[in-house]
Amino acid sequence: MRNGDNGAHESGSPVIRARSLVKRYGDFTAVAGVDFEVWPGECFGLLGPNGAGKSSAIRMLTGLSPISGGELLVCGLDVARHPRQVKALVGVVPQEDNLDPDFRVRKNLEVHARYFGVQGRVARERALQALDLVRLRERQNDRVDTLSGGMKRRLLIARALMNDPPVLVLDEPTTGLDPQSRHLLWERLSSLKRQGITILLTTHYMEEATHLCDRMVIMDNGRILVEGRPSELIGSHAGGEVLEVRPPQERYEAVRERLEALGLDAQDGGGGALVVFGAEGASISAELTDEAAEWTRRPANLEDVFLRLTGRELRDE
Amino acid sequence: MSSIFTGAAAERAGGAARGAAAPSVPALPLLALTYWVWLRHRDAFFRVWRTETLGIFGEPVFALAAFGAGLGFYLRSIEGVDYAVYVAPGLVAGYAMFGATFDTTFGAYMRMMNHRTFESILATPVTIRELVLGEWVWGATRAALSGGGMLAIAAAYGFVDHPAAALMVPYCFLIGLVFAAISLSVVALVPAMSTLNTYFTLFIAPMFFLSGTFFPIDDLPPFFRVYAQVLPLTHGTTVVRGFAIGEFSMEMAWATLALFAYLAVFTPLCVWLMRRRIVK
Repeated sequence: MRNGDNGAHESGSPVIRARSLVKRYGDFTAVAGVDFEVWPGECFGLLGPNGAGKSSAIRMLTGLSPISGGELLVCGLDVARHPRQVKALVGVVPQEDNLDPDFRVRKNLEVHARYFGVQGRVARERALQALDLVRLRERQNDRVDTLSGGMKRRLLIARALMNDPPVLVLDEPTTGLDPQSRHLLWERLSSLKRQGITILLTTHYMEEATHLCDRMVIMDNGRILVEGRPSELIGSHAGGEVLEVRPPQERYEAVRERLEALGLDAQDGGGGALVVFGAEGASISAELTDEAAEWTRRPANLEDVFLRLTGRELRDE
Repeated sequence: MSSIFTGAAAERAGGAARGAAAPSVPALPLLALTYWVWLRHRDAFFRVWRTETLGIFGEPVFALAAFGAGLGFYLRSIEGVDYAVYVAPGLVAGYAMFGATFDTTFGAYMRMMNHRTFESILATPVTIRELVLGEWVWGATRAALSGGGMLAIAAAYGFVDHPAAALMVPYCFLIGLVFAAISLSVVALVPAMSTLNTYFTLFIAPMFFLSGTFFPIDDLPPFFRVYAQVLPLTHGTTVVRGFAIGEFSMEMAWATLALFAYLAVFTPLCVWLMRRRIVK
């Protein structure tokens, strides 16, 4: 279900459509008019540093926060006018664990399913199938506080599937998980995507976005900076290769000038390093050896795009 | 379109196809969703039914032994009846108040802030209104259970024997609606769970002592008598006490009207305050 870039989509209408979407809290504008579309069967990523507006966008989509301006449609339904119907179509995996400690694992799913009118035998069967899907069936009668962080996150995904939603929304699904749990979760999400579920996720792990997202936007200060496929964004904003140079401290300026003399755009990479984007093919080893600088070449990645676009300053919310 | 589920689990509740613009929202959402929120609380209650049952029936055994049999031995009679017969309905109303209040203060606060249960429920077709009303009706249910437990033990002791006393249980539900609405309004305003202690210290505990539970309020000093007259538990106690001895009076009708006045103010208020707190 991969879609082309120029509107040649398999299915006529987008699953999620945001138009000039705005969220204000008093005088503060968290989302300052964003437009994006998520097409059936794709995994769409919202990326950005803390305070970029990702979570506000998710909260509007999941009915926890009223829209201040613009329009947000899910399966053609206006979120502001049909909140119940929209929420019935969306499965939500929150950033923080909100499993119900009053119930055991399977009962958590069954209680959640009831709010969607799914009850009794159907709810029980669905709960077991959802637990199979996230590999937690053998824990069905355990208390939720005995689960590890990764298991809780998988149970949250199982819970989000109980209404058999066409759209799954995940807010930083792997934050705080170890690599094993993270990879298992990615694998489960890919399998859901293969079954036709449309996924919208926020993350600030670039590896996660590269791994899962067909298309993505990078947001900052409530606005979308760029939109595209991960490979396109890397190609157009970080080039093919990145050269990282670590000159001796006192030679920093001299090395920068020599690189620029070669026609390379050397930027401050933080920590006393210089980075050159799009450095493929540039022959510079002799220059750098002269200066006794350490240097490495590596393929450009999304993190380069991200840092290049959003800067290196720390974001404290 | 397809479903991630197979077999019976793939059946749609509303029969709508996946992805179609007719998602599964019940025909009467306010009633159905409030009921489903109520069922969540009921299920949580029955999961720990052993401890809850002990609380409902165990504490009255001791409370009635102390106030009815113990204190009653010295006091003999009050308003023409044995003290045990006088105090038992007072305790029924008081325990109804506590039953509703604990669950809708500390319980609701935990679900809202600590466990984030409200957030998870609001991600479903449930809106703030049904969420709060579900808490409210469940609080009243707890009041009927607590009051009913006290009544059952009082009957076993022989302190209550009139058939009209059975009306006390539904009336405890009404008392519970009042206290649940007030408590949920308070929960929507408190900055931290410890602030709820202040509500108990200044409002709930004095009410238990001053609302005619243990002695007629007519004997109180004038200031406290006036104060007691505006407390909702005073009105609840008046009516419940009438049912206990099978006497019906105009005073009971006025008291019921007073409780409805409380409901008229606090039921919409608690929904409004909760919405203001949660929806941002």
